[in-house]
Amino acid sequence: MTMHREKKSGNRFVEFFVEKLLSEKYREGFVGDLLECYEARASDGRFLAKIWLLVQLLSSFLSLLKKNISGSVAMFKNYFQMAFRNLKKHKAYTIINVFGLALGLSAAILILLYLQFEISYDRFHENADSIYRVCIRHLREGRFESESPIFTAPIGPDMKKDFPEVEDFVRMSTPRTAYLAVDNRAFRVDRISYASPSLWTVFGFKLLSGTPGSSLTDPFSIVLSSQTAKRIFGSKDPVGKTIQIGPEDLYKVTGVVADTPPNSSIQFNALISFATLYARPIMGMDWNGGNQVITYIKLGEKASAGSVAEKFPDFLWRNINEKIDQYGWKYEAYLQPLKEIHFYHDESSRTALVNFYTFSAVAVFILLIACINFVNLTTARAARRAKEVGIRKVIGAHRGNLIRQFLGESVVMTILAFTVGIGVAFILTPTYNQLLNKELNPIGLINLTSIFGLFILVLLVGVASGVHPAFYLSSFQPVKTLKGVFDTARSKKRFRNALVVFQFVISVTLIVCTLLIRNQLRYIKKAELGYNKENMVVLPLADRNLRTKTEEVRNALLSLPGIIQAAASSEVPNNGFTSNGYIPEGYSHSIMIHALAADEHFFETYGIDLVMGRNFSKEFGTDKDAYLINETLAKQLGWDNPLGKTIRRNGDKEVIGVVKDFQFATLHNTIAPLLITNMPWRNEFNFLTIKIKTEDIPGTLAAIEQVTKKFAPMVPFEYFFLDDAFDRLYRSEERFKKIFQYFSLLAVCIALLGLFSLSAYSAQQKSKEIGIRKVLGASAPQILSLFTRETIVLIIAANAFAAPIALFVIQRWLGNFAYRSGISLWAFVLTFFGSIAAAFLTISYQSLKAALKKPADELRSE
Amino acid sequence: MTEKYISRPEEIVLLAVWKLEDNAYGITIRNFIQEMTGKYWSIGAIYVPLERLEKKGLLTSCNSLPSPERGGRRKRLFQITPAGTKELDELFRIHAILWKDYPKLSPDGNK
Repeated sequence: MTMHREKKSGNRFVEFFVEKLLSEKYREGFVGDLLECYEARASDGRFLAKIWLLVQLLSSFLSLLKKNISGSVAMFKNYFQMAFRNLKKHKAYTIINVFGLALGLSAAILILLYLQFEISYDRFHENADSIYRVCIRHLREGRFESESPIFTAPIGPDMKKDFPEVEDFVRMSTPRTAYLAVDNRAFRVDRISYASPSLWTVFGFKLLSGTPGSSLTDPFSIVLSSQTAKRIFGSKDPVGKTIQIGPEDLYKVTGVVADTPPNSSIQFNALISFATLYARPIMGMDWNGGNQVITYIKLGEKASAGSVAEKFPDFLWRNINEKIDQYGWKYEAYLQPLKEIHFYHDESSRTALVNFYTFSAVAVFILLIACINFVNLTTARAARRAKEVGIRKVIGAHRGNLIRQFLGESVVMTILAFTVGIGVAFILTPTYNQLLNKELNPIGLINLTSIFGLFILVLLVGVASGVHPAFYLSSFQPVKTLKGVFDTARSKKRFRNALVVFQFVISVTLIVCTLLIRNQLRYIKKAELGYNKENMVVLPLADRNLRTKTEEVRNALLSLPGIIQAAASSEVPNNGFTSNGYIPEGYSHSIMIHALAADEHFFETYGIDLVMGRNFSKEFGTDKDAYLINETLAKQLGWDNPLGKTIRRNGDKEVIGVVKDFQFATLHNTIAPLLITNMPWRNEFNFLTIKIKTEDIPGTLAAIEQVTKKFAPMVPFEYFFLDDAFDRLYRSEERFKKIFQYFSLLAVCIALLGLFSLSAYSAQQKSKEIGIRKVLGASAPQILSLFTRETIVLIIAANAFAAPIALFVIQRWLGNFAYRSGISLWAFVLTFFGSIAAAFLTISYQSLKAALKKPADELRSE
Repeated sequence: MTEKYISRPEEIVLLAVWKLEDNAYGITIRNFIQEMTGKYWSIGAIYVPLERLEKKGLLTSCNSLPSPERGGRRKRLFQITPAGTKELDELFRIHAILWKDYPKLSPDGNK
């Protein structure tokens, strides 16, 4: 009985193969033979019989299989041989086709590299799937105000205490910049974070020396990234050395950590033990302390983020919301999966996501254009190969054979193009990296999934570009093609034209977008900011001496000949100012207002005018308790005459003047309300802005260095130009523009390449027609117009389709900016005429050649 | 007349079918070949030349009645056609001519 069951399951498997390999009439006999032998052997022993059956089956299939494929292997060989012969025979055609496809593929590979890098963000942590960042939403009177992962210190430990799901947590402070001094030499190091020791177990950062258990446990211990360690200590082992930060704090180096990978959203150059914050708090460390800590949690294996989210309201109410409820404030928390931070929750996420989608689309479009080229070229050449198809059919080729042959040909072509494309991509990678400011490595693509993906891509491209010609060519009636009745049917031509239009819709859209992006970026650079950013040198006041003696430094600098004016401030207009809560006169609650601390020379140095009232002045002893506001704030508060009004924060302070609006943040935003105080935090300014004369800038800089060295001999001289810093703000946009520009150009080139070969083909096809026309008296220009007219119509149609698409796309992009250049008609007009001119030039070479030929040469052969 | 000579496996199988007369089907053919040549053939491997021979018209085949020891499956019985016997005659004639003067070259050639 057991036998019966096995037979059933085994039989299905056997029958499946037999069906594929053996013709129908022998099947039953074959299976019967097998069973008869099996039964005969089963009497000796079932197990051995089964093994015998298995061996028998396997060897049977092998011999049957050999019989079945030996013919098709030869066929395949033939397909490839024919493909190669065809390609060799038509070299120009092959080169254009392969080159076009190779360009398209290399662009796609380069873009793929970038996309793969973007996707790989934060995936190198072993626990990446169970790590979350705690993000806090700030609500006021029930309305959403802002959200940030930066919150107070105790949320991490308290979550671990209250939530069984939370296995561990890592606290990291917001990154800051400091001077690390060793043996009287100071190094400016940015991205320094306070971090808890659980960092080593939760994240995948590798500690190169030192022990994970103890390296971030004791207060005043510091772990350097290997790059930072090399910068400060050279080749010496830094572990155990002492580093001085600030005027008195000494830190012990307890480890060296591998540099954070570029695809990590957590970046640091040095880590200081979180315990240090408790030993010397720079802010409160309890629930209503300062917001300065980012908390990551690792959930247990079976825990879900959802169950944590359910417990947040109660947890937050107990710990903080209960106390702030009376002021109308409320906090809400949610978990951000670590792997989603880069695309959805980072400061630059919007740009990252937009770029990701844009470039994916561009890659697809370029590949599409290249594939369309291939399809168009092959169908256009169909007439020439129609005879070949006819003869093959007469000899006995089935339609399937022909389809396979043509598909084989295009696959051979794509594999060829792919090889070339990979080569080109490899060669271009360094330039591409420079453009992107990344370190992408094509070798990085070489892992199993990528190889598989690329292989599929090749096959897809090959099949996609071969499918139309394969089915189209193989459908020819052999008799007709051999008789020469075959004609390029009108519908096929229409199909080809539609593809050309499609190609140029893409190209034109890309070009219009490029032009408009350029426009917008140029507009930003020239935009009126409301202050002078030329010839302004900014000194960051990093050293304590410079900070406490700013006034003396300023006076010393002013005595230099190359310096016009200098001013101290807490921040410089560039990337926006911090904001604080203030209660203006007549308000019952506080509102968020950006704040700047500046001395009385600031407005003169920056060329900012006062609209009303007066500047800060030393003559008024009370100016430490006075505010200046900008026009936007005055307008927002509805104060027609703000002078004398008061704004409260640590006591009422009087508004003594209104300054003209100036843009202190990026042009992505409109000018925000701003309040200026004469009183910096801790009475120390952070920056000194120096307006210099245009003559002898190097000399002036050297003189400035001399002065600062006198006050801060240990600190390296550092400065930047205000306009450089401004340009840096838009660097990512510039980069985006450049890459977009190159890829658009490439798309256009490939499309034109296709147009070129199509025109070559049609010139060839119409050579007789031209000959006759010339005999009948047509002039060369007439023949030229005959050729170009049709293509020009296609390009015009493409422009018409592309305009609304480009308009839509670019409006979405411009939505990122508060200051928009306006969409200039120019871009459209320029692209319109440009595309027509380019198309005309491309086809006129072939057309002219055809038009100038002697008609006798063309007609004689008949 | 077939223009091309049949292959060696085909020749062996054809001969086997002729010798087995009314009882030529997969297993008997296989057993016969194994006895005569001492070589291992899988059952599937038998069907490859059988199929080719039938296509060439040297064999015909039909189904027997179902038999219980084969799970109720019928046998596929093969029979040689007049063309098949003619082919065998032809092969024998050629073999005889070709091999007539063959000296025993290898030391254990007549083993």
